[in-house]
Amino acid sequence: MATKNQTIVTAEKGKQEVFIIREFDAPRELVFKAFSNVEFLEQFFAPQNRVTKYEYGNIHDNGSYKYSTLDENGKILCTFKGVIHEVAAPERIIQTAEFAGLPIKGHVVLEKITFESLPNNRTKLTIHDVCMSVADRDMMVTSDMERGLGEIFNHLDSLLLKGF
Amino acid sequence: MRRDIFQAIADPTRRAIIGLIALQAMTPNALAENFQTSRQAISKHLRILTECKLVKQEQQGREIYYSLEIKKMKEIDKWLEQYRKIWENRFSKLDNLLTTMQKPKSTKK
Repeated sequence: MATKNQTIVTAEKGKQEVFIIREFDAPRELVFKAFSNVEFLEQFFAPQNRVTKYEYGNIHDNGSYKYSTLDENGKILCTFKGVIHEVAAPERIIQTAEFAGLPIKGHVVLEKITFESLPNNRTKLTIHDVCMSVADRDMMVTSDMERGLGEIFNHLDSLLLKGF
Repeated sequence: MRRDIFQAIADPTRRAIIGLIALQAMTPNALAENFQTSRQAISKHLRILTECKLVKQEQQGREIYYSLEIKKMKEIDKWLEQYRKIWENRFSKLDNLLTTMQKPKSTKK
């Protein structure tokens, strides 16, 4: 790879949103294809030493998905599910996501994935997540659920927000 | 065994203990009343939390009170970096995938 593409994550304090931005040395159609096919998602989405398995994944308008992250022994660490609001190839995917392991339901994330064409067949990917509360947002980025670390209690999050 | 803040919060009972003592210092007995598990199990979790330096003990008369080590909790502030690393790792795998996805086309030329 000629250049090292930086992964930028911004999560301003006190806001409900997170941005994840990254550029790729590949055309937009291809990056879009990777994000809209279960076969490809399973190949890159799992964190290190983890496996991503889709129970179902219909990445098209009004579709839905459910996947789990497994450890190397095949133990399920966490499960996410959601519905697909819009798939506008090759520009954007809008979907919801919910961590299925939470004791309390209703902590859903709205996610917009945008693919922008850049010169020289490059692509800029922007993932914009909006959570239902600041505490939810902080939990999402804090808890590192995909590594099996689970959620942290709400009042702990509020302590963190206040900076103690 | 790993003894750091992430080990400390890896277990749901320990997270619940953290949640409780974040509000006020508590004795193991008082903590155990909040759980279905045995007093011994709670003590074991408290020992791990202590080893992770996430809680501190304070003797008051005959009782030992456990409270949250606030400074240590701040280590979680590094969380955004952890989260970023997960994505960075994903994306570098995607880089490789995109390269292989492109290959069939270029060889057919």
